[in-house]
Amino acid sequence: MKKNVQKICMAFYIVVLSGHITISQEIYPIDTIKILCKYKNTFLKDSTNKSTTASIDMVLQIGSHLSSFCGFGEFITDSLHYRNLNLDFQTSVSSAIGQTSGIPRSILCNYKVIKNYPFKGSLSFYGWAGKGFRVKEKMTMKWEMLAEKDTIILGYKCQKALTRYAGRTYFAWYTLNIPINEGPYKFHGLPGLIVKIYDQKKQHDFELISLKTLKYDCPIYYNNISYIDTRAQDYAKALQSHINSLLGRIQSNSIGISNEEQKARSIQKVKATNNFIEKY
Amino acid sequence: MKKILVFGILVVISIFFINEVKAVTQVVTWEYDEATGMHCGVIQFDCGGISYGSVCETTWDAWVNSANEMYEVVCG
Repeated sequence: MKKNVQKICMAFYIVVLSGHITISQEIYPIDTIKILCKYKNTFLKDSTNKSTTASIDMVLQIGSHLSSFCGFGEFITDSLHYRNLNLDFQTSVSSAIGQTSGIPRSILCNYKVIKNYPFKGSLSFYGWAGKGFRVKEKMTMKWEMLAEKDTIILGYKCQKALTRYAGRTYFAWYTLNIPINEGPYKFHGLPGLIVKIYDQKKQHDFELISLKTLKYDCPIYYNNISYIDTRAQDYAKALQSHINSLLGRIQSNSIGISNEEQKARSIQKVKATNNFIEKY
Repeated sequence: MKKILVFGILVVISIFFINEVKAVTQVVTWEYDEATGMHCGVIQFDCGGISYGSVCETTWDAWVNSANEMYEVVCG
């Protein structure tokens, strides 16, 4: 009887302790990268002005049972965050900011998309708009196969397909040379990796610029913070409201830009940030 | 000898350039409020003029996101 109680207590402590570790840890690995794809994301910041074209590098980390897509800056930041978990908050934050602040980012692309996690068939979008938001979706993307199949991109023979998603029509080039049902952003569901995808108005474009099969263990991380669960439409509203709030902070000197010319440029830049990838 | 000299100069220039990039953003003050759990700090941005922004957040993720966003607004 005594032994049984001891066993139960031991099991209880293990469950409680492991639960505590999972809850308290802000970031932890959920898979390891098998294939690492880097995409150039070219987009207009202002949908009405073609001179506002920007481009940032984004990475698709394909693991054995899930994938994660985010900006190159976030990819590096996650790794630094995990590496510095034993450091105090200030040292860890200062180090991460100092080492990654030069990497191009955009308010419009400050998100992560994880597919097939926590279970197969689920897709989660984690976006930053002053707070962390999460949009959960099912992986049900419908494609129309097109006739074109003679294009070579990055050395891969590609075929064309079309889909409509969140207010835009997209054309995708995918390759059967890499028979993986994956792609940048939320895109998936083709018989091969999406090598290039752009919307009909050419306001958002993702193009593969490198692909590596990793032979060493490189983790895919999950940020375990408390997200606000919402719908995609409401996230778009939250992001707009966050952009307005940033504008207010510059105008009220809460973000103190010493040079007037630079301040005017920043205000103009934030005001012109309106080309959300999802249109509702 | 010439090759070594050129290589040396290139290394020095590279180190200088990397340090310049790293020096763009730094946290200059820091306070932690135990009552609210808020980590507050002032960040200095150096990109064609010195600018400042303050961040107050409770989590690592929120802090880094806010700081990077401010960098983008000011310097991007």
